Amino acid sequence: MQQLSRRRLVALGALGLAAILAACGGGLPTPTPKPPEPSKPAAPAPAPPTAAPAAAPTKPTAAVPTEAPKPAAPVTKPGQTVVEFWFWADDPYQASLHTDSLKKFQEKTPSIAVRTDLIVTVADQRKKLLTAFAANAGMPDVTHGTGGWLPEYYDAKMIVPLESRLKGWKTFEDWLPAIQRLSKGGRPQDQIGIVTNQILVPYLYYRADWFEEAKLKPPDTLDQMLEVARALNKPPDRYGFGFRGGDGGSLGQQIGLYLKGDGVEFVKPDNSVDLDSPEAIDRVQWYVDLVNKHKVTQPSALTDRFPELFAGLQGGKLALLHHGLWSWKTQEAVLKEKVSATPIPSGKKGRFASTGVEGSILYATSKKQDEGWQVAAFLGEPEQAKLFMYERGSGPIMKSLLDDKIFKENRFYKAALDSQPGWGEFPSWHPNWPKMADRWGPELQRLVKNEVNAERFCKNLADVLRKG
Amino acid sequence: MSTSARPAVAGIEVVRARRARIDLLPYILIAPAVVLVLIVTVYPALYAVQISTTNANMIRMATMRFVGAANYVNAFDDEIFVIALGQTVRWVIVNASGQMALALPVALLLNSAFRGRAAVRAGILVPWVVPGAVVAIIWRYMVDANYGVVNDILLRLGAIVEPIAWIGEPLPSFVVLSTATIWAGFPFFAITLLAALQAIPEDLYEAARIDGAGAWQRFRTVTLPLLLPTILLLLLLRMIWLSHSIDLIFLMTNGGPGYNNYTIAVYSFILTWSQLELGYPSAMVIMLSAVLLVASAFYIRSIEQSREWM
Repeated sequence: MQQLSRRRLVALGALGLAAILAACGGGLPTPTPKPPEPSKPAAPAPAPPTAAPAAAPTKPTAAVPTEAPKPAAPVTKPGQTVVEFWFWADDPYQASLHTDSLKKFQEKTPSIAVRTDLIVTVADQRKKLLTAFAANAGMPDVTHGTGGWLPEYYDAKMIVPLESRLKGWKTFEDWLPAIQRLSKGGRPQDQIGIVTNQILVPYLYYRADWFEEAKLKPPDTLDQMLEVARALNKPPDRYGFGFRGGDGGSLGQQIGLYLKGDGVEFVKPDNSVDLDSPEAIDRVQWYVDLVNKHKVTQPSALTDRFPELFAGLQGGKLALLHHGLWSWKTQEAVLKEKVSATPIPSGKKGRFASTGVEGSILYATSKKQDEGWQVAAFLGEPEQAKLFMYERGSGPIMKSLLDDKIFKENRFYKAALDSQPGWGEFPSWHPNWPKMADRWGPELQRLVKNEVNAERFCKNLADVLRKG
Repeated sequence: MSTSARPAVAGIEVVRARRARIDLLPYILIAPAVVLVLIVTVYPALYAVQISTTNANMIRMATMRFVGAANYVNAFDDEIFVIALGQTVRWVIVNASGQMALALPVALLLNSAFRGRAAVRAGILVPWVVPGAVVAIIWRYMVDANYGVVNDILLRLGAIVEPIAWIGEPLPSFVVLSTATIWAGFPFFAITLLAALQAIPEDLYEAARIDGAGAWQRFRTVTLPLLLPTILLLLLLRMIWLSHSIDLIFLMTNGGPGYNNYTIAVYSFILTWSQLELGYPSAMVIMLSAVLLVASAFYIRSIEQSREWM
């Protein structure tokens, strides 16, 4: 290879440096592009998507969403403030509840443009939010969120306490006392941090046609639930109870509810842990006996999550399935009158139904908190709350909605409301709760496979709560 | 003096001229690549080492503090880490050797002349080009306990009397995962081995035939020795890939039932993904990387020795 003189080397080096700088974007300024043409008025809205419930027993009086969402940047006009809003939805129809409501907001408030970002799942949104916050970049102004996030977000100083704003908002007076409490996220000392517009209530689905055929009554207690599960269990054609072993979902929707119904608090007010108490061990043993002793669960019990369980109920494989009001339309669309619901069966000390609120959360990083508040407040107005109540399957959040006819006429809403005295929440505010919840699924699988016994299961998870 | 000093001065000038003409061009040409590697590989690796000595969590980055080697020491008190460590070894050995065991006969078959060989060679790549997520979904539903085709066939044949929850049982779930991984991974082995087979000179086989060697002897004395460096290199690459692969394990089983399919990579991913932990999972993957580096060094040495032996 030909050798270079120092001068040529320097020249080449300078050339290379210039090339690297150019590649990094240090080029000449390009002419400013012409602003886009104003968008044309939207085409007439198409018919509601097929996911929309056709079999709703009562017609909603609130406005019905008209189209699937198209999250995109709005065309902003001069002087408009853009508010970033993130949300998730179970399906396109549920997403349209938000986007249609926000369209109405923009018509009413032309000075604010809302830019939406639809994120696939609630878990993805939480992670995206925390990542954006940790990176100090790309945070939204407002998001749809759950009450369960609040303690974690308060600790991270991510969110804005809302009580001073709520006190000047007339709808707040209409909130049910339970909603005011739940909107703090579980720690009494915290302020309300969410403008609640939905409450999710769990219950127990049952195959009404099989119950009628076998002349059985919906179970009111856990012992009765075991009896009917045994009575309706006819393997391999059908199974008495849909066991959720594929993820940690049994904590929030099955065994966790039973433990609370037996008086196990997980974490007591004095911060002591009772998850390894004799009552807890007994109930956990009872729960695992559904699989190993009574054999009333489906063969895939250990790996099933809610999609497989839905398929089991809808495919005529399962007689009982825990889920909640927010999926009633999905079940009824397939099974019609063959499916009904009953409150979560009560344990030794009573009934417990873990309720979770959802609504809008404002972020401390936002420089448009006043505008963000207007978006959040609009989504919490009775008209929108009613829309979510009818179309998403939310329980009532306002006193004025308690007497709505849907709670008397619709069997699913009735079941949800009947469990109201047992509405409560898990101590998810505890700093080690996420770790414990994460260990729940695999530890339960070990329990079912006899790799650990009920005592060891409870001890392992109690230790996670105690020590992290 | 001037005459006697002349050769010395000339010598200094030569040295100066040499210094003035340093051959820097190669360094300049590779500089952008080096800078890029430093930015995208070395810096993140060093940052991971730094993070591994802290209690970093994405939610509590503001309160992150230095914990020294605590994450490394505590790992060995963590029951799940110890389980995952053993299962990482099992996972890598079974799958790397399984892929090689399937790929070698396939490569030998593809190297022989038969009708439709081109189509078969192209078709064999299908499992390799299918994305991991799709492979996981296909296999998960094939072995589903309620609706899976595997159970359906076995029931119809009378081989089983009730459906088996393949991925709900410790050993069957590992067998299913390994089968899916071997199925998806063997084409890469097969095609690479095929290329190596085609590079073996035909003369060697001819000479062996003249010497009266049969098919097995030709394979043992000609094919296998010449393939050995390729086989060893492929196994090394595959072991590294497998040790940090998570897609099939996570999507098909979540690492379960229990922790029966947890590997170090899966465990660290689960901690990061669900609990947003950064410190402890970083320590785990750094330990894994260190083990892989040491193992690779020994392995590469043995590859060199195999070449010398040839």
